[in-house]
Amino acid sequence: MSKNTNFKYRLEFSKTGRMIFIGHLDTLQLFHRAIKKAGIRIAYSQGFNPHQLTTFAVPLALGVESVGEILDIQLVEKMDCEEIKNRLNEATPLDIEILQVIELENSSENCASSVRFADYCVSLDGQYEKVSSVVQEILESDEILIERTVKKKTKTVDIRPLIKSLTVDKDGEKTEIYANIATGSKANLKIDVLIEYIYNKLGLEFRFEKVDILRGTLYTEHEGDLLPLCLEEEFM
Amino acid sequence: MLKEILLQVEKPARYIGNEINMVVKNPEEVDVRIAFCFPDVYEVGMSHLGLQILYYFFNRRSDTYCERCFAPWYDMEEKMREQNIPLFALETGDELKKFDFVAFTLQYEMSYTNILNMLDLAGIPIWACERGEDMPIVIAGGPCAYNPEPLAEIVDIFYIGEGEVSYDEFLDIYKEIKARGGSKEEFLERCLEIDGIYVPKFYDVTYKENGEIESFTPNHPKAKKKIKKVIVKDMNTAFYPEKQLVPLIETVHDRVTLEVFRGCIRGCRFCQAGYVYRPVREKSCEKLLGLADSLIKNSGHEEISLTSLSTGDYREFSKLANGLIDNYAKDSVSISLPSLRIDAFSLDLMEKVQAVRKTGLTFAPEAGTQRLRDVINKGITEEEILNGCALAFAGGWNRVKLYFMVGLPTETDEDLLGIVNLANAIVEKFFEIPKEERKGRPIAVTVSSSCFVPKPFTPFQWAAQSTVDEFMRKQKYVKTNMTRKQVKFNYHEPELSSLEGAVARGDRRTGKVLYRAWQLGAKFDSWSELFKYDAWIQAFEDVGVKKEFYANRERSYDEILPWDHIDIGVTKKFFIDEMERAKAETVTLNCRQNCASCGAAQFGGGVCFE
Repeated sequence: MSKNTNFKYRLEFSKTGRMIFIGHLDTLQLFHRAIKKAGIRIAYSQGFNPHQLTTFAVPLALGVESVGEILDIQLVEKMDCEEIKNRLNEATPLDIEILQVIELENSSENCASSVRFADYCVSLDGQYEKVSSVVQEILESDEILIERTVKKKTKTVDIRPLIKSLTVDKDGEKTEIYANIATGSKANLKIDVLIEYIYNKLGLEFRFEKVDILRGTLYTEHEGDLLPLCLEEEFM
Repeated sequence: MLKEILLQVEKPARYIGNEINMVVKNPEEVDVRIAFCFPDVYEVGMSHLGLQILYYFFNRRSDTYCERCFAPWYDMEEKMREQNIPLFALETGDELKKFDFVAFTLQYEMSYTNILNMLDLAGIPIWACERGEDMPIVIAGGPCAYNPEPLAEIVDIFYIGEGEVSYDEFLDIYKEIKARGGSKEEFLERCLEIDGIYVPKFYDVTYKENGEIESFTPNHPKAKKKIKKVIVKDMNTAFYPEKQLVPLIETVHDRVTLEVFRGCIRGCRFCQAGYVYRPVREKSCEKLLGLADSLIKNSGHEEISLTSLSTGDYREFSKLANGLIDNYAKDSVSISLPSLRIDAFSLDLMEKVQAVRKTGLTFAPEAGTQRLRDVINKGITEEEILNGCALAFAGGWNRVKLYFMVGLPTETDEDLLGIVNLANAIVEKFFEIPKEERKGRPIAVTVSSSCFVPKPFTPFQWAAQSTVDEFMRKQKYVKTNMTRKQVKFNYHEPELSSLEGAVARGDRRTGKVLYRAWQLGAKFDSWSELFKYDAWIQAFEDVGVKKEFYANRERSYDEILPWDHIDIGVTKKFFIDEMERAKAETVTLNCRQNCASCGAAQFGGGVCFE
C-alpha cells in the first residue's frame, strides 16, 4: 500500500431543527454532496467504486439533536481550516452548521476509532424531585443490570460502568438530565436505554418521540482524561 | 407535535423540505404564493424534471413564492387526519389553504385520486363549484392535461403546454386583480385572453343518448373554441435552472438532469409524448455543456443524466457525450445515458462512461413481429436488435432487457409468439460466441410486457383497448410459450392499465367516478400494495358509467372526442392518416428523413425548420 499523502481535517458540526429527521447514511450522503458543491478537493478511495474518504465518529439516532457531531475528511490538497468551514457552511442546508475545523496529523487515528464518551442532555416535563432521586440511586449503585434483546437473544448487561457522570438540573418547568456515557466501538451505551431505565424507575412509559435529546461534545480518552475529539493538538 | 408524528412515520424527511438549494423567502413579502403539488410520494415527485424547472422559474420572480407539496404516504396521512393537521407545503410548513394557487402536475392518470385526497387533506373542497373566494385557485398542467376533461369539474384552470411561455403573463394579471381586490371570477374571465389557458367552467357539454358527446360549446363570449398549446420556440434562450433541489434522502433519480431537447422525431403511433411535445427543439451543445457545469457545481451530485425522449437522436450527441466525459470523468462524476440505440458507437460510449460495470442492455421493440412493429411505427428491426446484441455479447455484456406491449391494435397470436421468438433468437446469438470466449458467463434475457393503453392525441386514440380478460389470456399465452430457461418473463397486471385506459380517454362524467373511487378508499393506485381495483369497479357501478365505454370501445373518426377542443398543433387529419397507414402496415419516416406535414410546423421552430 502506498503511503497516505492526504491532508486530514476534523469537522465539528451541529445537526438541529429539521435536520434531526435525516438519518445517518443520508447525512453522510449530504456531506458528500456539500463537499463537492463547496469545491473542496476530497480524496477518493481506490478501486471499483471509489468513494469519498470521510468518517463519522459515531452515528446519531434519528430524532436526536446534536451540537457536537464529528466528521473526519481527507483532502488531496492543503486548505485553510476557516476556508473549509465557511465554504461548507455555504453548501450545507439550514440546521447543519460547521462549528469548527481543525487540521490533523497525517498519522492520527480517525474519529471513529478514538471516540470513547459523549455528553447528552435529555429534557422532560416536571418530575424534578423524582428524577433526582432515581439519578442518586443510579450513582450509588455498583451495578445496574438491564435486559437487552439483540438478534432475538436476551442478555443481561451491566450499564453502570458505562455511565461516567450523571446530573440533574431544573430549567423552569423542565427537568434536564446531563449524562456522560460510553460511546464508540470499545464500549457503548445508547442514551435511550439509559433514559428508558430512568422512566421505568419513575413508573412512566418511555416513548422516544416524546423526549427531547441533545448530544453534546464527543470525547476521546488520553491517559485517563477525557479530551474533546475536536481539539487543536497544541491543547492536548 | 409535528416532531412526535414525524418520528413515528416512515422516512420523515419526506415532509421537512430543507434540501440543498431550497428557495427561502418571506411569504409576507410576496404577492403570489404557489403550492406546486405532485400527486405522488416525495421520492417520485422530486425526481421529476418539470418540478425542478418550474420551481425555479416561479421563484425567479421576486413577487412570487413557489413551495412544494407531495402526497403524504398513508402512514403520515393517518397521523395527520388523527391530529387534524392540514396538508402543508414543505418550505414554510404553511397549510395549502393559505396559498393563492394550488398547482398540480398531471404526470399519469392513475395519480388522480391522490389529487382529490390532497385537496381533502388540505381542507379544500374537491369540486371547483364548491370553492369560494377564500379558497385557493386550483390549477393543473403536464402531459395528462392534454385531456383535461376527467378533472374539468375539479380543477379551475388548466395550463396547456410548456410553463415557461404564459405563466408570467398569468401571474401578472392575477397580481393586478388581487391588488385591487378583484374577484376570482374576474380572474378566470381574464384568463380567457391568455394563450394556452383552458378554463373548463366556460364550456358546456351535452351528450347523445348513446353516451357520445353531442356538443362541446363555449358559454362565455371570450372563451376560445380551441385552446392551442403554448411551447418554447428556442430552447437556447428559454429559462432553465442553473441549480437543482438536492434531496436529503434517496429518491428515484438522484442526479443532475440535463434536458437535451424536447419532442421526438420518431412518431411511434402509441406514444402520446411523441406527438404532444412536437416539434423537436434542441439545445445547442455549447449551451448544454455550460448548463452541465453550473448544475454539477451547484448541486454536488456525482451523476449527470441526459434526458429527452430519445437522446440518441440528438444531432450533436457524440460531441456532447465526449465533452461531458472529458470535463467530468476525472471528478468522479458519472454520466448516465438513457436507452440508446445499441450500435458500435453507443457501446463504445457506454464502455467509456459506465467505467467497468456492464449491467444490462435494454431494447424496446414493443412488438414481437416486424409486421406489428410497422403497424406501431416502431422503427427498429430484428436485425438491428440481433446485431446490437452480438456486438454487446462480444464486448462482455450478458444481460438483456426487452420491453414489449400486448394488446396493440391488429395484434394476433402470431405477434405474441414473435415476442418469444425474438427472446429466443437473442439467446441463440449468445451461444454463437465460441464457448471459450463466454468464460462461463450465463446469458439472461428479461422480457417485460405491459398492457397497451390507447391515449388521446395519438393515431390509436380511436382504438379499442383489450379487456382485462383479453390481456390475461395474451400474457398467459406468451408465458406458456416462453420455455427457455435463460428467458425470464415479467408482465403487468392488466387491471391498472384497464382503468388507465378508461381515465385517459375519459370525459367530464369520469370525474364523478374518480370522486366515488376516492370515497371508497382509492389512492396511490399505481402502488400495487395500495391498489384497490374493487373500489374502482364499485365506483363505476355507483356512478352509472361504464368502464368499457371509455376503455374498450372503438370510436369512429367523426365522433366528437372529449379532448377535441385542445389543439396540440398536430392535426386530426394527420392522426386519421396515420391510423390508416397503421392498418395498412405502412411506416412513416421520422421528421428528419421526411416531413409528414403533421401540423407542428405552425409553431415556427425546431426540427421543422432545421
